[in-house]
Amino acid sequence: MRRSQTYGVHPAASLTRPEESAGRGRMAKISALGLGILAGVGGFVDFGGIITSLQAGAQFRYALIWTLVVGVIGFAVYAEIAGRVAIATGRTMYDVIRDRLGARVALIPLIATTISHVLTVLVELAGMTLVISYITHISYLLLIPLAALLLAIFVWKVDFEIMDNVGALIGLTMLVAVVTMIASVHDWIHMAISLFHPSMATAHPVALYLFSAISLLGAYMTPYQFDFYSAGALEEEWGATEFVTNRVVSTVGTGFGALITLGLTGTAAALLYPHHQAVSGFADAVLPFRESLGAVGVAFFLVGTFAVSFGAGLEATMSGSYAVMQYFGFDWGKKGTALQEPLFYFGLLGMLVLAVLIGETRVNPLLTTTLTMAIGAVALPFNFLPLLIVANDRDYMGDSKNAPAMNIVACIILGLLILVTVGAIPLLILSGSY
Amino acid sequence: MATPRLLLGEQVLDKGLISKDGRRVGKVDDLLLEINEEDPESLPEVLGILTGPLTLAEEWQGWLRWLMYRLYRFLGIANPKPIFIPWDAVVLIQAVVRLDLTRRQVGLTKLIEAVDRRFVRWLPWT
Repeated sequence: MRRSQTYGVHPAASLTRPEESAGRGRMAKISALGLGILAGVGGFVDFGGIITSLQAGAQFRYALIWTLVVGVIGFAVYAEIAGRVAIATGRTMYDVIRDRLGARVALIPLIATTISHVLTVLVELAGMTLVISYITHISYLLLIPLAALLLAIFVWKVDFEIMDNVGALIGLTMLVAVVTMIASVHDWIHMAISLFHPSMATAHPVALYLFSAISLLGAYMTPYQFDFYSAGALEEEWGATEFVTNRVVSTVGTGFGALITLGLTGTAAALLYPHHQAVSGFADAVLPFRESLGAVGVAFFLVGTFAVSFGAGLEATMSGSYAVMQYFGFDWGKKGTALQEPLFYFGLLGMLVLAVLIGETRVNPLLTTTLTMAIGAVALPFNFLPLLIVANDRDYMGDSKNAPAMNIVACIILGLLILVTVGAIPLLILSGSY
Repeated sequence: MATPRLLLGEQVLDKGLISKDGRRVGKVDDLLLEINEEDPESLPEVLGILTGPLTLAEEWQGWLRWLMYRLYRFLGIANPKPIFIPWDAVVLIQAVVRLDLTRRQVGLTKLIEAVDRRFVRWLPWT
């Protein structure tokens, strides 16, 4: 019996109708596209990405830039798949994953990504508070609960579309990293070659190099980004006419974000590596912008870091609650108020409270950032494999199922991430990154 | 005309539940079947749907089950139980299972009201 066959006396009616469009005019569509691209920038760059990119450049010069190519392709491919699954099925990742694989198997990605989500919220709170702490010299430990309160109020009260785009728009100030890269890098050919053929001369110690590669991949493809993108497609009521929008947002937006990340790594490679200056504290991260562009560079970097951390904090918080609500089949999303959907908002609160509690144990924020990005990379196969299975199931996707070329690329990325999952803990121990 | 057959595992289990008032009220976490002991060869009869986190918790490892029951107690729900939906409340099965019951009639509001009462409504920005 085909999955789509109905049983009952009422006419067939699916929960959503992918063929219905929002009926927008041309200008509104262009606007949505533009904002979607900008949101892609904010989604690709967060505090974890900022720190791991700067650390990579400072420690290994250009030897880890190749991870950007893998990260961009991986993010673009799986974001496109997540968006297409949401549009074609009218349902989100965790909803269809549980439907396709069953409650017991689907519990594995849920637990893995929930841990990643909570830690990512903590990382983004750290990003916000370290910026304020740098300016005011107030301990970031005192600021963490305040930052969480700010996120809570914002996610409670602000409309989804505004929330999705404000952080990304302000986060464009992170383009200062591209400016400092242009101002400080001189060996462009070496850097360009390293994208595809890294020089291993600076890739030591090897265990730390490989573990750093894992953290970078996790920073480029943090699990919350895919959950948020999938749920966001339904929050914004994307229909069948948004398949093209989905493809453009997931590729072009990613490209802009990758440019900023390249700027961060290149800047650190040019200005920190020659002095053997590691990025072990937030003040170290500010150094290259002060050296290159003075107070203006520092201001842009601080504003940009706060903005992308804030935006990513909102997204990670929502993604955590999305995943749990979708797994259990409860109402989720910003369309309802807290009094209409208390379970969803309780989930948001739970994410923030857990993150604050962990943060207040005085864990080193930059070390936590690196480890969290690595944990994110380890959690990815548990999401990507079920997503790939659903995206290839004609009963769910109809004609929108994965093309063979997409499957080849997706499987290569997945294979690499499985190696990451297997190697992460041994490399963590060997590199002493704990 | 042949009687339509329903593959419960494929077409019903883990599907989303939608109430009469259009709300998501959980998933088909389990099914309650009755076997006719006088005619063991006959197909079991579906009595209804079991739903709610506690339904799943019964299948989980001990510590996860304990955590779920503790969470319900924390929310102020005494004697938490899985939610049972009689099979005759099911009106349509497709990508989701539609019910002829409101969210309140399903029984999900106990959990929702507990969360609202204990946490959400007391927040100053709600």
